[in-house]
Amino acid sequence: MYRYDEFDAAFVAERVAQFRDQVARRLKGELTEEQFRPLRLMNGVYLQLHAYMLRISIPYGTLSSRQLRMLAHIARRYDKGYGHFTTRQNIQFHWPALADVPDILAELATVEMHAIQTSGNDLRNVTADQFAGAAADEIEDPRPYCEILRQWLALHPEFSFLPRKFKIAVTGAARDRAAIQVHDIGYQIVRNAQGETGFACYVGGGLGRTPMIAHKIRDFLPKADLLAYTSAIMRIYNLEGRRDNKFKARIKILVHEKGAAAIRAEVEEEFARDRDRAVRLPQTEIDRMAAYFAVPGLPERPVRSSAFEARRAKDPNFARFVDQNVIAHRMPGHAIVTVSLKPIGGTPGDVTAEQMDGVADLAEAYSQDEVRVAHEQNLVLAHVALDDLPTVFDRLIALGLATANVGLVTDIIACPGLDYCGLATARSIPIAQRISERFGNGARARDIGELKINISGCINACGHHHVGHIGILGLEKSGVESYQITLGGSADENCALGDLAGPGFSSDKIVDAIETIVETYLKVRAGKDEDFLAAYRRVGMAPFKEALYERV
Amino acid sequence: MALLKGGRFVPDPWRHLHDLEALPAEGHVILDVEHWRSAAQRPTNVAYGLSLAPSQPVAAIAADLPFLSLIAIQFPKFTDGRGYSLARQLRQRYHFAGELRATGDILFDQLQFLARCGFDAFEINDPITIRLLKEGHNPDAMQLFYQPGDGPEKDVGTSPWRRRSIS
Amino acid sequence: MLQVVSANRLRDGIVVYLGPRDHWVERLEAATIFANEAECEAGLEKGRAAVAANLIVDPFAVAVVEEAGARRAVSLRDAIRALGPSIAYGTAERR
Repeated sequence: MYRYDEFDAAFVAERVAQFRDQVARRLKGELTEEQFRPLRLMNGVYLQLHAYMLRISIPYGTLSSRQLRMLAHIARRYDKGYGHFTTRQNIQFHWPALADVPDILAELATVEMHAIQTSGNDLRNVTADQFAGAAADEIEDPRPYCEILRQWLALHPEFSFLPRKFKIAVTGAARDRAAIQVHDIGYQIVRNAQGETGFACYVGGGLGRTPMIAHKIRDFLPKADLLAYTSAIMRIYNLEGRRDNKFKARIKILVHEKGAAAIRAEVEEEFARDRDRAVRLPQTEIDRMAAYFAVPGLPERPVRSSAFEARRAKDPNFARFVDQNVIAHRMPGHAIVTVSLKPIGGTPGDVTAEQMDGVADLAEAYSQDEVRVAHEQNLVLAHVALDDLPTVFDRLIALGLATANVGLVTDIIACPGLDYCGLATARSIPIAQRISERFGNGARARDIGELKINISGCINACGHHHVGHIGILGLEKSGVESYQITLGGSADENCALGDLAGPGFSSDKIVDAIETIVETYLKVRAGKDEDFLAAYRRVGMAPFKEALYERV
Repeated sequence: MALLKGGRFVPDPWRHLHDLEALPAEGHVILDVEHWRSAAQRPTNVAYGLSLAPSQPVAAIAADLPFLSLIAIQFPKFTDGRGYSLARQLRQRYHFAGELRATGDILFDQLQFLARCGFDAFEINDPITIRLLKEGHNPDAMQLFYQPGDGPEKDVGTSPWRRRSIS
Repeated sequence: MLQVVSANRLRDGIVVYLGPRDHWVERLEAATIFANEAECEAGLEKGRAAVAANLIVDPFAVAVVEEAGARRAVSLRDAIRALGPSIAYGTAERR
């Protein structure tokens, strides 16, 4: 993974000192809250219902063991002993004191981490496929480009006061695990007819109150032009994005109002005019960056592991874990293990300091010292030898992290909702917990198969409910929580926004409603191989609507 | 109001003209684009500056630039970042070499961003910003940058986007 | 409807209420009660003064009811602010 050089370390130190000064001025009253708010947001500090919240950047979701241990330390020392992994591969702490944040940032800096631009109307953390560099289906690892973008966008003088936040995602595989079509910019690494690799560029996707799928505005962008092209898009957006209405300020609205063709023409013109003045990426620099991310020198392992096969044959729990949470690695004899942060009845994405330490130990011993954060709010050990899988599984059991439910109905994505968030209109976590308990971790959940449920506690859609196979949106109706259901959403390469099923359900009724939808799916599916989304796409809303609303 | 230039507060030789005020025979005046266009005659003994609202595209005044010694870009709210892009275009694309002045809601923590986009003069109204500067607080908190900017800086010789301040 | 004044403390963000002798207290039960919105205006004025004194952020009036000797905030949002998250969290969640 990327390692800071002296420049990076000095930059972060300067930034910490700057924020320390800003916090001191705020506490003395030399900055009003209105003046301070954008400054603290640029450093990931929110003020929520119960306290401040600090969101720490995990660039493209890659962490070292040392970094994860530091997050555990921060959880213990400055918070209440736990943290929450988010849908943008970051972690947030829900209880830090403002006065402590400069010290927290200084501690983070010792392990090459920061909270720069994890909030605010600026360029946010660049996200990537959580299996980057390990996936068998990848053209190229997207993370070197994410890192180049991460550096280039840090405290960018021209783009620090955008109309609204701006999110970039990059994927290196045709199978989109980074949800690039619901980002402000999505880059997909592609190969052209000449065999060169470059980027397809998507612009104007996003969720929130006006969900939209991005438009592809370029089929092939040479790698050398990545920053120039991104800069052109940013400048058009900075100058023309709406500033009169916060809810219409994202680039998706600009693209929608002007049309994708017009935006493409403007971007291309801006790009052409300033291409020579912009920073071009020489191949030597790309190679230098790529070297940081080269798949670690994995030891030679037999393609078949007898330890693995023996355990799999005799231990059904292990076999289920492998079926559900483990996928192929590009290197034979190795596997990618997803560590579910969705225990039955638990809070999606939450981990305790002890669990963080435990996963860090596992990564150090068995996965090349590296942990990934998935946008599904799970962790990933990306380079585990099959021989070591039984041991890793046993240790995950001891940590309470061996739930074998990745991709199942209980692997629920949920924002913190009204239990923490000042913007929320309803709670998310209790709904996720009750759905999880309803379906459990037995044969029933496995029979249902792949089914993604996403829950947001307000229209801002941090739980990405529009792209859940089943989406749940929590609203407030005359002082009472009410939950709307959408069906058929998907964030992958066949990106789709869910269709609204009908009127909302009360907190008491929503879990029954979800069960009704699942039972209806089980009835209509063509066979066990037809998963929920495929069945929905075939039969449409009608049978679900009827089951939800027309039965007595 | 105080004018910050070259890191110091200096007397301001420029005067903002009111909407309907006639052009003077001499001096330094700043006027808006409409006013500039409507002037039948422009005395030659006058230095002109144009005041741009953030919604006004730079391309529309490109032909006027040779006659202008100053462009003032308005920041109605410090959170309105359009002026940063206007400044970059003026400096980079149109090679405008006159004074580039930020006016309006200009606060301490934005000064370095503004300078790196090509502004070299700042009309400051915020009393605390003025006080901090007078007390010697350095608004250039960062010495290292991940993007080329305007202002005194040099390539650090590693990644092509990295720069170091030389001020 | 009965009102109290709430805010978040500037330094650590913790939820506080305007209490006796203009102290900002952490427990809803200890908050000063105003009989109605009009009377609460005096409390909000103290809130604004506390903002100016760099003690708190974002003061606002919270409607409360008192039943059987217990006080609770009327809206779910304010109730969660007063009581904390409605779910077990952190180590208490006991995985």
